[in-house]
Amino acid sequence: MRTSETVETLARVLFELATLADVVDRVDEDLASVVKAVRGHVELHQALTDTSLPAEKKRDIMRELFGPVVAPETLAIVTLMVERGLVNSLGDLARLYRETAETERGVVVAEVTTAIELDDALRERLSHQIAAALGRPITLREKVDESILGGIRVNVAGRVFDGTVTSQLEGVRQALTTARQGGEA
Amino acid sequence: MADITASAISEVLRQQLESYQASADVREVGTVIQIGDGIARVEGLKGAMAGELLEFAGAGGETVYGMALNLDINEVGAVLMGETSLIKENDAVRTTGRIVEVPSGPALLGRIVDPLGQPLDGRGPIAAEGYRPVEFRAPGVIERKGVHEPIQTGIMAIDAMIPIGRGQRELIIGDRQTGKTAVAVDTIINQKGTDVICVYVAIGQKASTVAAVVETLDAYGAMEYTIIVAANASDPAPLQYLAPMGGCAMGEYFMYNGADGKLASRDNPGRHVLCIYDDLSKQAVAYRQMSLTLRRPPGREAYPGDVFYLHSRLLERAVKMNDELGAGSLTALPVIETQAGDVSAYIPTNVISITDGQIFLQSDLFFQGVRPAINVGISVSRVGGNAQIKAMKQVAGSLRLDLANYRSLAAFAQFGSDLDKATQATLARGARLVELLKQGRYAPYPVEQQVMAIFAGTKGYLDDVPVEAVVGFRDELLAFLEGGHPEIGRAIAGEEKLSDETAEALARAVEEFKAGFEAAE
Repeated sequence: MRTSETVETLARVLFELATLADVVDRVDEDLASVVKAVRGHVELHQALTDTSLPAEKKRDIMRELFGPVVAPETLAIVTLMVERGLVNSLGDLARLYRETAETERGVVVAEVTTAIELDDALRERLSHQIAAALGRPITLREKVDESILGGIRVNVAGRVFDGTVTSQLEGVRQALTTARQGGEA
Repeated sequence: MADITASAISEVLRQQLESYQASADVREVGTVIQIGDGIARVEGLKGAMAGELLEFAGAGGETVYGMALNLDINEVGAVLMGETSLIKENDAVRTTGRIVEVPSGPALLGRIVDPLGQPLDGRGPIAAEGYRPVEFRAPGVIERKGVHEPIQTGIMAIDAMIPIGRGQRELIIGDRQTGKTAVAVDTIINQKGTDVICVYVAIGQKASTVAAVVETLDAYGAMEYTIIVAANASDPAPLQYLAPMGGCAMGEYFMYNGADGKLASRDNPGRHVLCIYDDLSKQAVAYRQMSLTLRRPPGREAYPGDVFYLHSRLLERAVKMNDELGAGSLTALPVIETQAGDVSAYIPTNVISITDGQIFLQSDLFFQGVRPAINVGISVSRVGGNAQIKAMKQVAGSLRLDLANYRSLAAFAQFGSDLDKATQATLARGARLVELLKQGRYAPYPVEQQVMAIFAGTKGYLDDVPVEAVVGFRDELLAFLEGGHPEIGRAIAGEEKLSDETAEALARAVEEFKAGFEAAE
């Protein structure tokens, strides 16, 4: 079995487990954070890909690190992959899982970041607008991030709609630092 | 000093900001999976274009630009064109919707820029007229016409026997320290007072070498019509890879546009550009590094399979445009450095086969004192013959023949007086012609002086001058002709063809000078 097929199977199994336990969205978030952690920490990545380290040791590391924070279903599959030496395919697992979830449930997850929490009316309008733009039903995943100062950022289907105050200010700064005469030739 | 009031400042700021339109842009965002060796693997940019400029946002708010090269199913391989240590795994990457481009316009003349057009000379920002993509489609068959005007290098050996036409691609090839850059720099200096715009692209050279070239060009007043594009040895490989294309794009602006900056046409002639890529072997090495780190399969000498296409599409952009499109031209002088004279290595054979001829420089000639160390026997120009002025064609024909005869007999030179008269005469003539073609650096000769000097050589006026006195004879002769008979030079430059009367006048003047020269000996 090729690696990609193994990962595909694992993604499907994970989705089925998550559906039974009703934690589909949580697992999606879990996977993203696991991938981010493994990619972002050189020592962790090295330890998990180290062939001289026994598989049990790696399993213990994974359990200790992610056990308290992720759903047990996620932990089981992710640990299995690490034991099998598929650390570099964790990103593929997260992507395939999201794809499976989106096709099975027929909804797309839209990640919305705002500086203050959304109220119900806004939430309603937002999901309507995005669903109309995509032509598919969506579920909102909300995030509050004060560092964007104001406005809204929507992350859906690999695209980012960026209407935050910080990026507008960044745009103004760019415009001022690169101001020049003359037009495009 | 004039008072700068707060209101004046806010007025300028207001003006600048009025043109800024706040918009919430929709862009693709991906994340860096892995970074190292100046390349990044990025996940999630499904719509990225080949060669698109990518914006890497570092954790500390810095932006580093990169270029998308490998477009795979789920990831993009990109090269970074800046400080790679600022970017880490999990950082966000955004597409910009733009292919890599460089600023263009007359404001670049006299400036030193990096391959992306950013000034390196500390003389402030460049007011560019617009931007041009670094990768640009070369004009097709219909848009071109035959190469027919000369580009004078001022170097006698080249202008007489390996003439270069406007729109030609002529390779300068040789080992290290044989004077390749000197030929290029002399050619730039000789364009002073003509309408040719020069672009000198330095790839992978020491910054001190580039500084020396700039200093020389400045000293000879050549910087005002020259753009220097420098990707030094310390710059990342992607910049060294982009440099020739960036320089070519800056040159193309002048060829495709008339003096008024509008598109060239029959009434608005495009200008003539000379692009020197010094040198393409280093660009190939930079491209090899990028390709290997991007995990593209290695081929011969570990170069990627498309290194031929890399050079052929760059050099194909050298062109002579037809009259409807303004008749501008872009001449390319690529430089290739060989290792111990090995021209059968991969990159030299590639570029030899792409270009319309080559100028071979050899270190043994260099150490024998033949400078420029051009081996005229194996140097050729496949189209330049059409681009020689008539007078030069008339005198250079026998020069080439005399030198060829000399080379075939040179091995017998050691037998000295045992040889028959004819052989001795051929050897004597050849030795003097080789001497005649020696030339100092930064001392280009205008074409009419070249014609007069070669005339003296091929008509046998040098045969009884001692070999070691030939250079002195030539220089004094040219000074004498300029002072005493300026009308001959004017006639050659004016009528282009050496008429019988002019040839006669020239012969009389040379004899007159020779009598004086011998008396002074």
